[in-house]
Amino acid sequence: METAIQILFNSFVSGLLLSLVAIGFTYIFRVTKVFHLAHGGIYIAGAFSCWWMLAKTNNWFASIAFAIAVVSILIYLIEKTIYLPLNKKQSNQSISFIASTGLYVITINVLALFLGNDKKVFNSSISGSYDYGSIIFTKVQLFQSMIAMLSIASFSIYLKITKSNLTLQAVSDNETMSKVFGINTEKARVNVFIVGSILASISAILKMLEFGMDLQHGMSITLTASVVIVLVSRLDIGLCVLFSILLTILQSTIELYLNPQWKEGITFLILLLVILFRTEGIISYNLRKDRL
Amino acid sequence: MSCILNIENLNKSFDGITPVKDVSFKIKKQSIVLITGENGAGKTTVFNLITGLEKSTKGKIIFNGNNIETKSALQISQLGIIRLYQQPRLFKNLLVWENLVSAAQNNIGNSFLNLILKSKIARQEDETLKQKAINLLTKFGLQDLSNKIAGELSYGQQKLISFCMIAMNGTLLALLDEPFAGLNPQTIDRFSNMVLQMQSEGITLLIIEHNITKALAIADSHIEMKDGIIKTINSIVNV
Amino acid sequence: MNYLLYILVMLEIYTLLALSANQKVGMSGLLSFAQAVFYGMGAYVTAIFITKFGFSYWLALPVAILTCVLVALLFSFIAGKVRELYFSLATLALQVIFFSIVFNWTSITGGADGIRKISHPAIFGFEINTPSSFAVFGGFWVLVVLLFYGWFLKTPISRMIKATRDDQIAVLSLGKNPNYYKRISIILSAIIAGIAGSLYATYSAYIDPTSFNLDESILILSIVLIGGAGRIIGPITGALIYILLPKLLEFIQMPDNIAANIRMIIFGVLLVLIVRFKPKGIFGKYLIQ
Repeated sequence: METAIQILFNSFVSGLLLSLVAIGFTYIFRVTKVFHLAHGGIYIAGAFSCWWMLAKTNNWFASIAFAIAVVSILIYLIEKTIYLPLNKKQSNQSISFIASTGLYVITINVLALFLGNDKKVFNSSISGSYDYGSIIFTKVQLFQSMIAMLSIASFSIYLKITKSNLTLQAVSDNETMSKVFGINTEKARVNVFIVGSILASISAILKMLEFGMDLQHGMSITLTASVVIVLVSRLDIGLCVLFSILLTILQSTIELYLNPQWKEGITFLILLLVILFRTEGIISYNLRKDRL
Repeated sequence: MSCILNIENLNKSFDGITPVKDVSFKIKKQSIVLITGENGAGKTTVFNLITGLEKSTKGKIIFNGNNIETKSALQISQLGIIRLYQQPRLFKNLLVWENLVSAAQNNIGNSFLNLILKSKIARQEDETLKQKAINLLTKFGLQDLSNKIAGELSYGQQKLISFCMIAMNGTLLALLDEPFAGLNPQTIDRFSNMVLQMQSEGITLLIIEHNITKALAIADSHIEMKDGIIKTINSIVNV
Repeated sequence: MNYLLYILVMLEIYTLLALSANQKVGMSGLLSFAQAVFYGMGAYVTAIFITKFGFSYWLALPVAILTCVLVALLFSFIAGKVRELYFSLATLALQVIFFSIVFNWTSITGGADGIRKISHPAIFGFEINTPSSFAVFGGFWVLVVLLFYGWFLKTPISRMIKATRDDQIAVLSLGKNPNYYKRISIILSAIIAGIAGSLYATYSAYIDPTSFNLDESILILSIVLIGGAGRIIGPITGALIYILLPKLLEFIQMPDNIAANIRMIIFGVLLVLIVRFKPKGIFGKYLIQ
């Protein structure tokens, strides 16, 4: 029983961190149709630039602001020089997917070049925990979940206030029509990319607080988030969070009862099954395309 | 003359709408039948039902003595029903003659096993088919296009080539979806001549077309649809 | 000299891998992120049958190829069900699953420790164990594959594979089964990658899972896309660029500790630039759908 509670709590916290990545990833994918694998690179860029600034200044506020600035500028440049031009050339999803893969490779290797391949750990962090019997809630975990929930709440309030969700839904459904109706689709795209990247870097910094961060983690969390993308077919924050947490519970259970290394294999087995059973065969695909 | 396609009480409904209601008609072998009607009259659905892309809720489709409404799209096309979409569907990275040879129904070398076991026969047959394709292009005055990449042809040329593919395929019944759309008058006349030539070679054609005047000039009978039902069926006697 | 021969063998292995990926990506339009699965399958099955069951290379190779064909059938089932981005994602998933299995099934694959002491192949009692003999042996396999393509590209089935890539609905409405042509293409691609894998295993005499991970698959795919998909010259050019790039870096005396990152950065930049400005690749004929 106590193990179960511990797993549920741990998964809840990690699930929230995953959902920060997944929400951004899903919004970017559904609105711009870009399967933005470089999200994993952005994630690491956020964490590493925060770490770098903290080492220099020892000022948390400055470091987080710096990280947010870095990822915003980075994703802005990526969108303006690569994704948007590809979109204007009416390139298909595979093309932008490949471009995104290339961007990921570049980001990770540039970071490795300047900051080294080793694992990065913040030199100051939150320590201590609250123990109830054998169940442990660490202060870092509580901090992580609070900030994560706050970020998710802020994102949904941002969408409500700016009425972005409707705009984004429109752009996602039909970009050309949205343009005709006076929606600034380019602005909508940039906003989604920037906000998604900020959410990812918040998640990365929070994650780094607990165990530090290595370069490979960005890809692994982005791939897990891609399972959420396939599961959630519309723009819905609640579903993203729900599936992220469920996925993490599953992963933690596997970690507990099987070799932890099976975790990714089984997560992707789920992805594979979902893809096979959710998407339709070639005939119905043809019909949909012909009717458009 | 015998009847190649026999449709009886065909119905299709989904989500509370019925795009096709109790449609029945027969098509004689080697005839040209025109189907007209406004958008949403159910013409395209009838085509989808015949080619097996959609399944009917009720009714029978008998083609050449086979009941085909339980068959898959692939099986139906193998029986000799071919559909030409409004947008020409060519293999755009292949040469024109390669497109035509690819359309041939039973090329031995299309199976990997045959390619290895009967490599000599396969090579000969492929050569024969290539010759047949070039002859066909010559017959329709398109021989200059033979070695061009299909995707680089003009829209009208692509339509003519995709029509040639029907002749290559050994089709019995061809369904044409707005063949004249987007073509200039000269190309339409050229296309009409090709249709008549195909007919004389034994192919039956079912045509959806909005350009009624041009289509009536070649059609043997005319089916008019409205709101999913057949309004009139007329035989046309061309003078 | 030995170093040059080492480069030559790697070039031969990557040429085979690029040709195998080109069969899928360029000839069939299937953007697969799992080419390293077949590469790894070829290497592991060869290694396991040689070290555990005492097979010779020439007996282990057919087993490896057969296993690759079986996995290829699973891939072609998926290719028949989903297309485009979802096919890519499915292959990506299979790649991660494959790595997970190889990494965790320690009793068979040795897990992270890998498999050691894989014996070298022999022809007519002559053991291939020197760098020069391996270079010739690798060259032999490249030649076999190139000769195969010299014949295959002129056959009707190769034409149908390309036709399926261009428009599978049209293939279907002409009365032919597009899934059959995808299957043939995926199997061919698997066999070539399997040969590359078994060559690598016996050449390096040691394999571990990290040679067959997602990064490797992305790399193989990039080689094809940079060189240009759809033609034989494309993947060969891509492999040349990938293998010779680090030599160039050495030539300008780039320190070793950063050379690996620089190489990947240059490769990433090349990939992005190609996709952005010359989407068909350097020598390609065909644009990915």
